[in-house]
Amino acid sequence: MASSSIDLSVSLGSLELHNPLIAASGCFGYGVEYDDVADRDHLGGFITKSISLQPWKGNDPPRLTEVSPGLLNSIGLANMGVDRFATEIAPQIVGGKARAIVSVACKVMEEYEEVVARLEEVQGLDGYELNISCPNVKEGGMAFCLNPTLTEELVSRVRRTTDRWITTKLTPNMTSISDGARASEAGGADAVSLINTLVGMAVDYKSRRPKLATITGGYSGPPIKPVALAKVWEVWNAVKIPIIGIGGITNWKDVVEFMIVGAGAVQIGTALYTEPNLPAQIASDLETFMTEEGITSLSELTGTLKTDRGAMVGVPE
Amino acid sequence: MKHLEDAIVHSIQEIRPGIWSMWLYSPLICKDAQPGQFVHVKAGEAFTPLLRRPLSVGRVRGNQLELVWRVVGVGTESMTRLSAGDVVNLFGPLGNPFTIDPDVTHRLLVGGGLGVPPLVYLYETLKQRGLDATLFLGIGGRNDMPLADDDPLLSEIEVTAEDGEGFRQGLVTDPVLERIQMLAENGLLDATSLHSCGPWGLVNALQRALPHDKLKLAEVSLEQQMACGNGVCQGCAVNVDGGATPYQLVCHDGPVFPLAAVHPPEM
Repeated sequence: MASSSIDLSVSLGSLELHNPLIAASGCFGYGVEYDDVADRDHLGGFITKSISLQPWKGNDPPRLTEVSPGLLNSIGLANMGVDRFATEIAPQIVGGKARAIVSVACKVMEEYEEVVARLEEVQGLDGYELNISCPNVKEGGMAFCLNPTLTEELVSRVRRTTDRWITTKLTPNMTSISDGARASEAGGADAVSLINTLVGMAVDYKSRRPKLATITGGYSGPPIKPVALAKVWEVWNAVKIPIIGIGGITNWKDVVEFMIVGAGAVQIGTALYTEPNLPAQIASDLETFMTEEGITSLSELTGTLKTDRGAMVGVPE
Repeated sequence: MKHLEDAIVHSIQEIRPGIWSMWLYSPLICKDAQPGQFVHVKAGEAFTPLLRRPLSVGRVRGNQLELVWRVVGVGTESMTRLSAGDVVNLFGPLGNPFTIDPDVTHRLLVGGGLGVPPLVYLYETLKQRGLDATLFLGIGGRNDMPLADDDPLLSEIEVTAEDGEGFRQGLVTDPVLERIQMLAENGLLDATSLHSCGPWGLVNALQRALPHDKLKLAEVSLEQQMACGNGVCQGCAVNVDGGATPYQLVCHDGPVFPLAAVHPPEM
């Protein structure tokens, strides 16, 4: 098996991870729910469910439907709010090997600043992921990402609130995700996370009713991987800050592919619902792969796509 | 405590067209399970299908547990291709069990169709503890019966069939309300509990017909599409009164809820 010289660690700017595997927001709860069955230390990091200023009740049910081999959801960012999170949960999730990143989702910019300011009081948190790309809420959500001017202003305002590491989570549901990435970089983000879910829909042909109460939802799971790879490759050609690749990862090969097209690390999302221990398996498989390929440091893979064209057709230079 | 356990199929059979029973060797989950809880079944390999399938824990005998399901899609279909000796990964036990109140003297267990397996588990648990229980099962007809024809339990329970073939004709609420009436006449309602599981039609009928405020306890186990089974994805929300929000999670706050508090989805 793996030799001790194998190095899975990666750096995302100022954030060091012992491996590139991060649990995606919304797919690992607040960080404690899987304690009985999955050791957080197998993760390089985890991103909490998105936290808002006040508790949010979420959307009407039904909130999810399996559109095999993917998942369509419209949870609507149901969460306990920052006060309860900061006092009851946050102290339990800091201090381990896995970096503890809090996802923040709000309706207006002032609330993002307020939530982050409140979380600054919690010792040991490693950073924030600004969720500006949720397709399932009426206010805020994706609107911040669809307008690069808003993205830059939001990031710069949060930047002035904290010295901690910041990433923005970007949506594929926009004409140019690179614009969102560049705006994040200009605003002072340390990294960008992509992609959030694709807007999708499922219909019951017999009843002619939508399968989600909100009619449309966010599509995730293995089918979105090709879209995510293309977006990561596009953004790799657009910004200098590190990219966290997200979308349909279920095994070590997926991780390697995301890194080759430009990801410095990855997030595992929907697959965790089925396999909470998947990151441990992937980490072990990556070590085997590296041994066989003679790769000593996994981060060497980032942005090593072999192409004669330099950049994807249609991507601005 | 929750476990991720590789269970081993001991036996599997199709007890009715499209209704299957499987016994699995799963010692960790059997040790910790209680009636009303469920397991999240990894129905296939390589994320096909993508999600696990939640199934109530049926009977538990020693280190083995029973799962009973109806084939409704790719996941439940793929489970029919398992055979003795195969390994199936289970996550559980999950959710909250039925309430076993020692002060109750009369327990009415009311199941509709595929809602009956968790009540069979509750029934057997109560009997083992020497506690009173009557199990009522309502089916459309024999093809919906979630127990095998040679199941000894059939001689102990009260079955109602809508088509009347081989069983008392009518709805399961008929004998239940007769029993409630008898208990009321004897002044025993405040020492009576009701535990139910079945389709929304049954739930609504019980809500309308039962003297809720007079029973010691009335609860229902719900099902809802879910992804994680563990309170993480927040996908299995249902409308339930009495919580901090209008919604509670079937997997984490349930699946057992107060009967009077639950509302069907509005779609």
